[in-house]
Amino acid sequence: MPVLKTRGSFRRYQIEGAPIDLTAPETFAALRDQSFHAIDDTPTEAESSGWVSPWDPTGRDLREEDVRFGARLTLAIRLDKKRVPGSLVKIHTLAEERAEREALGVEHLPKKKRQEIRQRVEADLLARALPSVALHQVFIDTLRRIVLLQGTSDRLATTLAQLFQRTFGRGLRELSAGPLAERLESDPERQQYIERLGPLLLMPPPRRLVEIVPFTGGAAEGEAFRDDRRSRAALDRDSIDTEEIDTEEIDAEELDDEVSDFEDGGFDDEVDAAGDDANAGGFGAGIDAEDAADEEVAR
Amino acid sequence: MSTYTEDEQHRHYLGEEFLTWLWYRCETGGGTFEMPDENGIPREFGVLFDDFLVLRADERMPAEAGLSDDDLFESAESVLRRGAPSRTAEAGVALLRGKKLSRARLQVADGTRSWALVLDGTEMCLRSVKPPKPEAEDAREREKESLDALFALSDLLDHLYRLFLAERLSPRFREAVIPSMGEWMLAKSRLGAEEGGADSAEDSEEP
Repeated sequence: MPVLKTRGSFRRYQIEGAPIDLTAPETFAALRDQSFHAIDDTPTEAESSGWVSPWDPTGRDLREEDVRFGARLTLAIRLDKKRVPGSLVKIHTLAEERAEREALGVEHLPKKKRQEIRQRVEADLLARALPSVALHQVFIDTLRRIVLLQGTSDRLATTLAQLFQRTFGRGLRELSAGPLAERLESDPERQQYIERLGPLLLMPPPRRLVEIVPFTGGAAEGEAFRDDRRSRAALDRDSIDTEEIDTEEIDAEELDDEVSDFEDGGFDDEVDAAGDDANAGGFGAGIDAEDAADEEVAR
Repeated sequence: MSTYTEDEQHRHYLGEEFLTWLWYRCETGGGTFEMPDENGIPREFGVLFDDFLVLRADERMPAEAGLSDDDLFESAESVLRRGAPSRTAEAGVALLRGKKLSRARLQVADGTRSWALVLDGTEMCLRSVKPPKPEAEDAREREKESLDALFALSDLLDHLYRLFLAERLSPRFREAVIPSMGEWMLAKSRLGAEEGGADSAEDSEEP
């Protein structure tokens, strides 16, 4: 039975560059080249990582028919690490140093000699240590150029990126919110807008500042989407008034009052006025209002 | 709490806005969405907010809005667990305080398949995914079924994000969606207060 697990936590990546050709013989040759090699019996290596098949986690037998499902691959990264506790190294080093001093008949050993002893002890213990083993599934959709990595640690992500680059000669881009938006949005103009997009202020009006501009959109710059510039103009102008705002903690009663005012349309006039100011004379006037507000803030 | 200065291109706030929007859409639209299948025929799938929510303050916001930290955000993160936290007063108040949803446990159902997961809006990664159990007898067929289910979940979430982006980038977002979300937040906080608050809630301050 394979050790495939599709439960757990996953990070998603986009494969950069051209799609991987699974029909090319060199693709699986490269996978086998980068397959896992064990460090159980090697005294010098403390860590090892590489591809394994879910059907054979030793890494010795990575077969195309095991890992390929059409245009998809199901692989795993195996990570082995050997660790020798520092206290154990210290105990053995002290014992070795004592034996060396007695053999030589001296009271102190030179620093270089003590370093040699420590390195020898570490290597001896490392050779006898058993590695810890971790398996992380990696699912690759070569057509859509998506990789799913089981595990969310940054170190694992770095290991995957390096292994992927060595194997397929391609980089990986994590599909966090920004890159995912760019991937899903094909229109170049809208992609540019995404690049300039700022965070939203999604607050109803618990404060006078937001009473005037109750809900504020992204603070993107540029002319493609003028309503955001309008909101910035209004927001910047209103921020001048923040000194007058009573910033004491709002209690539930006060919040209720404000909520009632809002529901009664009490803020609508102010909102409209702010909007009218920003839009008076069209888009250019709104920008002028924003510039004027900036200057006033600067003063 | 992330300052967003490490890598601006990740735009973590966009993921949190998406999750908050999805919450709003699920509560005001019944939680059903349509996605075209491979033949272009629309099919419905459902999203349900489950028993775990994390709401997070964007620390850049007060500065951008000309406010002090103390003015708006008394706590960096609100963690709500058990019961139906998405329908509690605490959740509504956290939204009113300018927090956005950064993580939520979701149930996603598409036909006979259903998944449980914690969607991390900040990192846009999938946590604690529980996929549907494969039904095939053969081991390799089961493996293929599991693989298909995982990528299907990824597709469904991408589709939801695409719907969000379509709204977020349209002028209608400012004119209609944001005011509507504001009303939803107000109604949520008021409804929660009438019901006597949440089953459980805790605020935590991240270092």
